[in-house]
Amino acid sequence: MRLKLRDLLALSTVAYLLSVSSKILSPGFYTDITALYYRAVLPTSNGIPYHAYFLEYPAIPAILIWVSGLAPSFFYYMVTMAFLMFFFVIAAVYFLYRICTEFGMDRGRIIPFFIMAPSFLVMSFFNWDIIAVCFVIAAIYYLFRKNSRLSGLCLGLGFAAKAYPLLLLPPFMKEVGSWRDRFEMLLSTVLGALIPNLPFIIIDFQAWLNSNLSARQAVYIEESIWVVTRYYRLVNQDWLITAVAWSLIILSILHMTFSSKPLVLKVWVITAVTILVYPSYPPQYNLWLLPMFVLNPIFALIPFLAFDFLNTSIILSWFTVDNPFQPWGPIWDISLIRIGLLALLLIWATHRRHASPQRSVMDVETGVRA
Amino acid sequence: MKGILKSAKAQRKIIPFIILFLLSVLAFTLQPVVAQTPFDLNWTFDYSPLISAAPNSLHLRIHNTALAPVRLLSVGIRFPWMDADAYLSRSGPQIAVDISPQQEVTYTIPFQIPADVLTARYTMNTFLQYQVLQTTQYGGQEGIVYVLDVVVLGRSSPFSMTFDPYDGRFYSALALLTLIGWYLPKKLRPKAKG
Repeated sequence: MRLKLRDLLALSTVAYLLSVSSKILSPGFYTDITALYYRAVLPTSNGIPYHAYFLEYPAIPAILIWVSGLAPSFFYYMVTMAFLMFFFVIAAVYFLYRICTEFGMDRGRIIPFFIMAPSFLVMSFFNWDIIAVCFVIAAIYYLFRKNSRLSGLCLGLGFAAKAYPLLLLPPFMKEVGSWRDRFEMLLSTVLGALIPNLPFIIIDFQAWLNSNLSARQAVYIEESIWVVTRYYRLVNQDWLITAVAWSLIILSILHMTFSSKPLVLKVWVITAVTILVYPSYPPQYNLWLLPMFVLNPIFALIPFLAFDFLNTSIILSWFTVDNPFQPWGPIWDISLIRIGLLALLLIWATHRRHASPQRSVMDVETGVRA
Repeated sequence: MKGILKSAKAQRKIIPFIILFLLSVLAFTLQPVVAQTPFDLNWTFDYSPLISAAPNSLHLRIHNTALAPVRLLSVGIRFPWMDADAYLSRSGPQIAVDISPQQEVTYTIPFQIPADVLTARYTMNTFLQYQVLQTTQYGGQEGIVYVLDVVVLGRSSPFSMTFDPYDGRFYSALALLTLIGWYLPKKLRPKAKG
C-alpha cells in the first residue's frame, strides 16, 4: 500500500482545521483576516472592496472578504472564509500529489514539508497566501503537462491573489517549446490576472487603481533584513533600498531563467530571493516556499524544520513578549536567524555540485521513481 | 531527504497517528478561558483583538461576592499609551452606587485606540474604588486594580518605507545594479582552458 491521495487530503483537512480553530476560538490570536473584518468589513457594513474602503490585497482575497462579509457576525465571517479557503488548501495538496505521482517525485515529502510544516499548521489560515500557493503549484503541474495555456492562466490567477507568482513567468516561458506557446502563456496569464479584477474595475476603476498602486508604495519593514539597516540608519534612502531589493529579484529571475537547473529549483530560488530581499518578510511568506521544498529533494528535513520552526515561532511568540519590536529582542533575533538560515539554504542550493546531469521540465516526465 | 516515509507501509501507518495528534491538539484549543477575580469582575469588549483607530467599548460586570453591601465609588480603565494619571472613567450607574450581596452592576466604557499603536500584546488596568459596609456605616476607601492582557492590531512595524514610482533615481540605480549583477559574475568567472 502506498500513500494515497485520500490520506493526504484527510491529513491536510485536519491540519487546516487546527489552523482555523486556533484563530476562531482564541480571540487574541492575530490574523490579517480578523484585522480586515474590524478595519474594513464592519465599519462599511460589508461595502465593496476598493470602492468602499482601501484594501491592500489583490482581487481574489477581495472577493473572499466580500463574500464572507455577507455573514451575519464575525464568527460566521471567519467560518465562511475558512470554508472558502479550504478549497484552495485541498487543491494545493491535490496538485502537489499529482506532480509527485505523475512525474516521479517522492510524494512522501508532502507530509513533512507541506502539510505538517509548522508554517502550514499555523498560517494556512492567517492571510490569503495559500491561494497564490495553490495556483503556483497548479501552474507547475500544467507546465509539466505541457499545457502552457492553463499554466499561464494559473499564474495569472495566482497574481490576482498575491504579486509573487508573476515573477515566475520568465522561467515558465523559457521552459515551453515554441514562441507560439510562450505567447499563449503570456496571454492566458494576463487573462487570469484580469478576470478576478474585472468586477472591481467596472464598479470603480479609480478606487481600484488607487488601492493597487498605493499598496505598493508604502511598505512597513517587517522582520526583514532592512530592519537592521533602518534601525542603525545605515541606508536612509528608500529609493536606494527599493532599487537594491528589486535588482536582486530581477537578477535572480534572469539567472534562473537562463540556467540549466530544474524548474522547481528555479522557482524555489526566485521565491527565496524575493522573500529575503523584499522590505517586508512576515512569517506567512514561508508558505510560498513549502511546495518547492517538497519538489526539491536536495533539501533535507532538519535544516528545513529549523528554518520553518523559527519562522513560525515569530508569530507564536509575538503576543507573549513585552515588546516584539525591541531591537535585538527575541523576535528580532529569531527573525534574523531565520533569514540567515534561508540565506545559507539559498547559497547551498545554487552552488552545490549536482550529482546527476541537470534535468529540465521536459525530461522530468521521463524520471522514474526511486 | 532519503529515508523519510520511503516505505509505503510506513507512509500508511503514520497517518492515523498524525491525525490523532492533531485532533488532540485541536481538542486542547477548545478549552474556554474564564477570568476570575476576588470581586468577580467579568469583562467583554465589543470585539477583541482590539483594532487601532476603531471605536470599541469595554463592558464590565461587577458582582459583589462579599457578605456585606459594597459602595462602588468609581470605575476606570487605563491603557499603557495614555499619559501618566490619565484614565477613562466609567459610564453607567451614577457615582457611589450601592451593591447588595450577590447583586451586580454593569458599566460600559467606550474608547478608541490611537492609529499609531503597534500590533502587540499590552496590559491595561481596570480599577475600582469602593467601600464596604461595616455594621452601620461604610468603612474607608479601598481600591483594587485588575491587569488585563489585550491584543491590539495596529501598525505592523515601527519602521516603514515609501516608494515613489516617479523617482528617476530609483530606475537609474535599478538599471545600473542589474547590469552590474548580470555582467560582473561573467567577467569574474575563470575562463575554461582549451
